[in-house]
Order: sequence, then structure tokens, then C-alpha cells
Amino acid sequence: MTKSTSQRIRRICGIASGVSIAVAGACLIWACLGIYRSGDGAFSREAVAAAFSPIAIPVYLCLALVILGFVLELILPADDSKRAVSKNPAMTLKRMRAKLDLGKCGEELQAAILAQVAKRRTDRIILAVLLAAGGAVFFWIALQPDAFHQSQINDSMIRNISILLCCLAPAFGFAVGAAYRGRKSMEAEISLLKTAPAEAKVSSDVKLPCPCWINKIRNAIAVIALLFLIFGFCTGGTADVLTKAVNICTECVGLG
Amino acid sequence: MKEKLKKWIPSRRKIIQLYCALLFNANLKGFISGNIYTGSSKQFCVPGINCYSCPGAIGACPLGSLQGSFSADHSTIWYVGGILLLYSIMFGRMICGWFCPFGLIQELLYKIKTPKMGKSPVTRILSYLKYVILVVFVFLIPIIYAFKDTPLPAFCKYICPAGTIEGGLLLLSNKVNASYFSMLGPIFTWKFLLMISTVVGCVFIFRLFCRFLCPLGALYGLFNKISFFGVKVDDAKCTHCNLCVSHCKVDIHRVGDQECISCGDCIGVCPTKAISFKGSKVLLKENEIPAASDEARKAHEAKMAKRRTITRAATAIVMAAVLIFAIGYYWMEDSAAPASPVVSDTERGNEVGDLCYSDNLRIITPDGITEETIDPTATGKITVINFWGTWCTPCVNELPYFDQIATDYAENVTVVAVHSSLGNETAPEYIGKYYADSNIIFATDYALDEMGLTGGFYSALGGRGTYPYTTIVDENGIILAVFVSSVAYEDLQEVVEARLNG
Repeated sequence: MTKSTSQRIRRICGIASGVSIAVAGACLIWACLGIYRSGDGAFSREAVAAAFSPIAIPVYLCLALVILGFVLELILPADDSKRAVSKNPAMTLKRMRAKLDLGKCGEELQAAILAQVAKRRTDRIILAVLLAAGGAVFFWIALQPDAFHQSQINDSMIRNISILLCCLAPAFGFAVGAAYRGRKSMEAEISLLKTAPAEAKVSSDVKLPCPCWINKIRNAIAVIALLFLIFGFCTGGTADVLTKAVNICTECVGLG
Repeated sequence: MKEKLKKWIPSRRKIIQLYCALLFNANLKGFISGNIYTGSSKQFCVPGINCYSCPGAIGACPLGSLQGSFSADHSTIWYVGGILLLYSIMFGRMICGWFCPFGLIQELLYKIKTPKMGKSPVTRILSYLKYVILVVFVFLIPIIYAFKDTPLPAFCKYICPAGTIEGGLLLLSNKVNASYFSMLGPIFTWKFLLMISTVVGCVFIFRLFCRFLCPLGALYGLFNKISFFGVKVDDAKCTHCNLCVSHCKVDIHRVGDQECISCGDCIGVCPTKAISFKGSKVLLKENEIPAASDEARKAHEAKMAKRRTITRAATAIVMAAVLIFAIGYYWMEDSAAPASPVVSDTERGNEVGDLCYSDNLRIITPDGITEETIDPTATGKITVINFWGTWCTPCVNELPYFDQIATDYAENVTVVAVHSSLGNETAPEYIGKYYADSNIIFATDYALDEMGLTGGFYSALGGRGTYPYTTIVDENGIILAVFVSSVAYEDLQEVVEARLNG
């Protein structure tokens, strides 16, 4: 069998496994929601079995495909020669910048490069503002006196988490967009840097700071950690850890 | 053939991961019996995420302990903080790559042959989510609720998929814990959905939980650059070719940064051999003799190869011996067995319809534990016996319902709240602060064993280490209902009304 044929078979099997795993996962989630929607606290071994038995076939099919994938991996040779190596534009940019004197690039090129830098900086500022605003709104709502009820701890938690997600959603949405814009901007800047004149290129011998301070901080933290540990141990700190560990707070492990 | 066989031999990292997963869960008997281990080794935290409610776990989870420490005695914060700081400064995120059992599970899931999603700008942004979770769910919420005297390990309760698999599903899958099904509700549904999503996601995305959600990894990552062990780059040799970053499956900007799990996969990729493990020279002493000539170099290399073989063999033997000893020790130890009933009367039991086991419990007042005792099965009224602890979130949350039932049915019902009296809990202080004028009779099932861990009355009534636990008995001591996990006011009212109305 040729490498391309085996590669094709592997790919088809991989896609089939991926789809089946996604379908099996969706079926499991659907079954779980079905049990929950049935109401009246209808969680029992029988109810769970009844909900999960119809989805057994897709789950078993998924397992069979996964096993088949492993077997094919063993039998068919892999062709890794075509594997693409992804490039990180941030690192490329950093490396190119270190080898370039921006002052010698010419005004037009310099302005174009700085425009890209300013674009990314603006995105970062907007993101920071959105995060700060979202955080401020959340804390303002969450710290209201009626935001917490000891007897309704789960409801108040769910409410607070929903508010947090709503507050952070704009920032998250913007961050995703900014990431793509940033990547495009960096790629544009790389292509600009490639057009820089030869006299602007300099030697990239960058002097690195001496890492001696790292050793000092590392040793200091290790000593502090040991002191904390010994103090906590001697004053009975292990007792509460043991208490939590040998008893099951049911809701704390998600049984609730 | 040899190449194919070599492919199936796990790497050194995989062997260590598997070893740690086995060592941290050496109580194999727990998987069969369905009981969690309750011995003294659980006072020590293991370095990776490993739920302490897992039947096999022999140590405590550092994240669970950290969240619990905020509402516990101050000494606990020092102890847990010290352990976490020590792990962080020693290994950084090397723990994620080499020691964490949940990391191993994720890597095995990723081995399933499917199309994979690589890293991208979106995954880089998502990698910051774990810092948000660390701040909000591990520090902020538990600390805020600790100030309100309500222990709330928010990450364990609402997010941790490792807890759902190891603590939840492994307990539920054992038939002796069939009663736990009755307690499943919205929290389990949410965590189960999250767990399935995480597991399915891990098949397509490399270490999804570690990269985007794990607050322990976020904490360890802060110390990556200054930790004793990990991965380092020799800047003198590095040509900034970026092959290491391209090859890496996690969202690093540079080898050894806060996202790097120090797996060492990039070491073989580097064309100039600029990447190595920190501390490798100390461990292997590869460069101790300068090679003056070809002969000297060959002799030196042979000597080093021999030394390496001996070191590896010795390490493997010691590790295997430790694992075998640990598994054997925990198999032989009998700490998980429930305490024997207080009254060895064969007519008594702990199921609905049985005549309830009895015991004389010492009463707690806001001033402390008194010499006065009460037998909760012989009060002459319907008696609600609730087992609780100040460390237990649902226990604390449901106490107002017991208070209300004790007030509403004062003539017919007695509520005895039996405190677990474990660790450094200050029950009298808590009772004085919140239930000084309550109709609840607070008592303590004073520890019967040497460790002071398990109350005999709790065990006799069928308690299997889960809190809260409630038993309702009638005026003759016959058990009317048993509730595993928390109850609502309506549940209690229903049982009481049914009894009162005959």
C-alpha cells in the first residue's frame, strides 16, 4: 500500500473517530439533560440506566472507531514529511526588530510600522478598559447586600456567575477579534520590516541580564515556604486538611 | 519490527506520570469497597490535582485544601500555603507535565486518533482564563464566603472535572454507594456536563483543562522561571529559530515561560541543543571531565553511559519498591472500615423501619462541650438527628431548616444536630454566634478512635464519610427516613407530617 493511500485511510478514520466522539459526547449531554428535565429529583440508578441505554450504540460505535484508529496507527506507516510547521509572528517580529535600527528605515516605512504598533496598542487599551469596566460592574452588583443569601447559596452563586459572564462577555468577544487583528497586523509589520533598507540592519548581540538574582529569590522563597510549612505543621494545620480529606462534603465534589 | 516495538514503549515522562497516578491512588482496595481512605497520610497534599474523595486517593488535593483553609483555623493557611509554595519553587509547572494524574488522563485522551485543533491566537487568549478562575474561584469566592462563616470551595463545587470523575463517578459506580443517587441534582448535572465537555474537548485539543481551566497550573506557572527544576534555554546557543515554540503543543511564547509544562519535547527538536532540563548537570554530571583527546572522550562517554545505566536501574528499582510497598500497605490497612456499632444488638439497625442504634451524646453549648448527655433515640418525640460540621458547606446551609422545623413543631419534634468534632473546628463559637437562641440541641459524637476521626454513632447510623447526613426516628426509636446529603425544609416537614397524621 502506498503512503498516500494509507495516509488517506488514516485521515478518513480520524475524521470518523472525531465525528463519532463529538456525537457520543452530544448524546451523553442530551441524556444528562433529559434526566435533569424529567424533574422531581428523579435521579436513581434505574432512571440513569434508562436514560443512558438508548445512547449505548453511538458510544460503542465511537469506541470501536477509536480502537480501529489505534490498530491502523500500528499497521499503516505515517507520512510526517508534509506536516506544516506553524510560525509564531510575535517571535518572528521580536527577532526582526532586534536586528533593525528603526531610525534608519526612512520616514514612510517608519510611519507605516508605527501605525501597526499603534493599532495593536489601541486594541490592548480597549481590552483593558472593557475588562476593568466589566469587573467594576460585576463587583458593584455582587457586593450589594442582597446578593448573598446563606440559605440560597447555590442560587446566589449561579446568579453571580451569570452576571460575571455577562460582564466579561464584551471583553472576551473583543479579545478574540483583537487576537486576529493583532496577528494580521504583525504579519503586515513583518512584511514591512522585510522591505527595510540594508543600512538599517544591525548586529543582534543583545546583552542578557545576569540571572544571579534568580538564585537569590529562588532560595529565599524556598526558605520562606519551609518556614510556613513548619509553622503550619507545628500549630496543627494538618488537622483541618485531614478533616476535609477523609470526609466527603457531598456538594463539594459535585454530588448535589 | 524493533522500531514498531519501540513506539509502543512509553517514554520516561509517561512512565513517571503513570507511576505518580498509581502512587497518589495507591489505596486500590478503595476502588473495590467504594470507601475513601481515611488514614493519616491524607494530611499531606499531593503535588497535582487528585481529588481526595477519590476512593483510591491516599493524599489531599492541594487546591481543595487551599480553598478549605480560608474558612479553617489560621494554621491551616500557613501549612497549605507552605506546601504549595514549596512545590511551586521546586518544580513550577513541571508538576503538570510529569506528576499530575489528570494531566496523564488528558494526554491519553489526546492520543485517540482524530483531527486535532492546534494552538491559535484564540487558544492563547483562552490560556488566560485559568488566571481568572484562580483569582475568582480559588481565592475571591472562598475568602468572601469565609468572612460570612460559610466554607465554599467554589472551584471544587462548580468546576473541577477531576473531582467529578475521581470523586463523583468513581463513588457512584460502586453499588455500595447506590444511595448517593438520591442526592444528585443541579450541581451534579452542571458538573457532569462540564466533565463530558472537558473529556470530549481533550480528545481534540491538547490538555484542554491544563491550558485553559486549571488554576493549580496557573499558580505553579507563576514560578516557572525561578523554579529549581524545569526547562531552560541557553541563550548563548539559541539562534531564535522558533522551532521549539512551533513544535510545542501548549501556548508558550518562549520555552520555560508561565505556560510551559516542562515536558521536554522541545529538547530533541532544538538544532543547536540550546534547551535542557534545569538541574540535569547536578543529576547526571555529564560534563565533569573535559575531553582532551578522542580516546579520552570515548572513555569518558563509556563511563558516563555505564553510570547512567546504573543510576536509571537503581532509580527504577527504588521507585518500584516504593510503589509495591505503598500498594501493599494500603491494601493491608483497615482504616476505611466503618466503626462497629455502639450497641451490638442484632435487633437494631440503620435502615428505614429498623429500631435505631442508640448512644449518649455530649451536649454542646456556646460555652463549650458539657458533661450533660442526651440519647437522641429516646427523647419521647419524633427526633431529627442531623450530622454536620462547620467545614461542610451544605451542612451549614441547611441548619436554618432544622432550626425552623424545631420551632414550628416544638411540641412534637426534637432536633439533635450532631457535630462532627473534627480538626480545629470551633463549634461552640459558631453555635454561640448563629444559634444561641435556637431550639436545636447541639451535641457531639465524641471521637471514639485514636485519630479522633470517626464518630461511632455516625457510623452505626450508616454514615459512610459523607456530610451532611440525617436520620429521622419516631418516638419509639424506629427509623422513619434517612437522607444522604442535604435536605430542604419541605422534606423534613413531609416526614414529620406523615408521622403525625398516622
